[in-house]
Amino acid sequence: MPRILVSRIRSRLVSVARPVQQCRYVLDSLRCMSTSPNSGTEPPTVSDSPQPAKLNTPASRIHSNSHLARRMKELGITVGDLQREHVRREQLKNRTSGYYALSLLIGTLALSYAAVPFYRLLCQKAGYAGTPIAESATITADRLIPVDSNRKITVRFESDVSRSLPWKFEPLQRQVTVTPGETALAFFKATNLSNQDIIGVATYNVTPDQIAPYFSKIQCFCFEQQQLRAGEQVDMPIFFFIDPDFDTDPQMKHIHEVVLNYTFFKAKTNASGQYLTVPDAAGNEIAGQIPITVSSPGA
Amino acid sequence: MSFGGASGNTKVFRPTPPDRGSFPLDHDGECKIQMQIYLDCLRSSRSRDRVPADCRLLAKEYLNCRMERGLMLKDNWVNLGLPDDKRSSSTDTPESKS
Repeated sequence: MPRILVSRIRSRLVSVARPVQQCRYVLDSLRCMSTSPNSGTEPPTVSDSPQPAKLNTPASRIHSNSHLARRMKELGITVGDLQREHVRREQLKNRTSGYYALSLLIGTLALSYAAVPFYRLLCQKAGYAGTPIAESATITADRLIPVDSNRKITVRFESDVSRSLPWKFEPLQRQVTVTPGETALAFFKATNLSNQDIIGVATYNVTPDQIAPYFSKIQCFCFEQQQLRAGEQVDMPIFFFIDPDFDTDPQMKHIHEVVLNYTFFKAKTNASGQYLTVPDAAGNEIAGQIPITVSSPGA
Repeated sequence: MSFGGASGNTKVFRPTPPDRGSFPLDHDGECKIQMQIYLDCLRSSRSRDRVPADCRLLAKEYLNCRMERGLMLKDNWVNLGLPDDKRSSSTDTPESKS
């Protein structure tokens, strides 16, 4: 460490010896020590504008007849003072840069937390990455006008029943061909094969996934508990349509077939008849109370 | 289904509830006849490309049957995307999401 100080002093003294007018200030209270072209031979003249300077040197390394030592003696400043001052300034500098770094870190953290709701908001407004834009709840009549093009989509129906549900559940038509914007009615039939009243809940799935934002159901039998008495058979309709914007979406150009799959689960009860588990939107049976609310945009 | 799928542009499928909620079950089979007529029409027109207009009228009959028996909330046909009929006197009750 002392070697570095000495080299610093030397470099400063060398720079002091340059013919350019330079001010070397020693602490705030000292005045400027300017240099003349022959600074090596004669003491420097002192100008009157005080500015701070940094000088670090152990006392033993200063020549007693150097102009620096003389000046310091004049003002009653010891080398220790200079060193402390230097250390203080360094600390202040470090602290300032530390504060800058800390504020940058906190700013970045805050931005990253704020990005999540901001991104969600942006997606909802702009429909980016497949988020459906039309978040308003009701399907208005102007969406139910069939498009003029020859676009036809075949909707096939499939049905599934959970293993714990002793029902027979099947679609009553294999497929329906629709145009985007045209509403269609389709039926499923469910038969309770057991000798008890059972409550079931249905959920659905649409393949391919890309059509999901465009596939709208006006009314169906899903997500609500449906009770079938023992041995009862019931027809369950669904009334749906494919949004007319599907026709103009270039990503949907290659889609001509859609598979609509309904799955029935059993709503579980405990000993006193209270319903315990209901399927969530993904088809997993979760603990919940009736009625089911599926988290969906606009719900 | 979406396991291992590409990140970024893929959308996770979330089934949405129907716009008007659930159909009450037709336990007594009150509209079964209309349903059968509609399904027969669908089967007979399977070779054609679209759901023919007359089958859609039969669908309208079925929904009308439901509305009359309280199995469906009444609404204007235009809100259901079905051709309006001349004697459209159903009460205008716009649905809200259930």
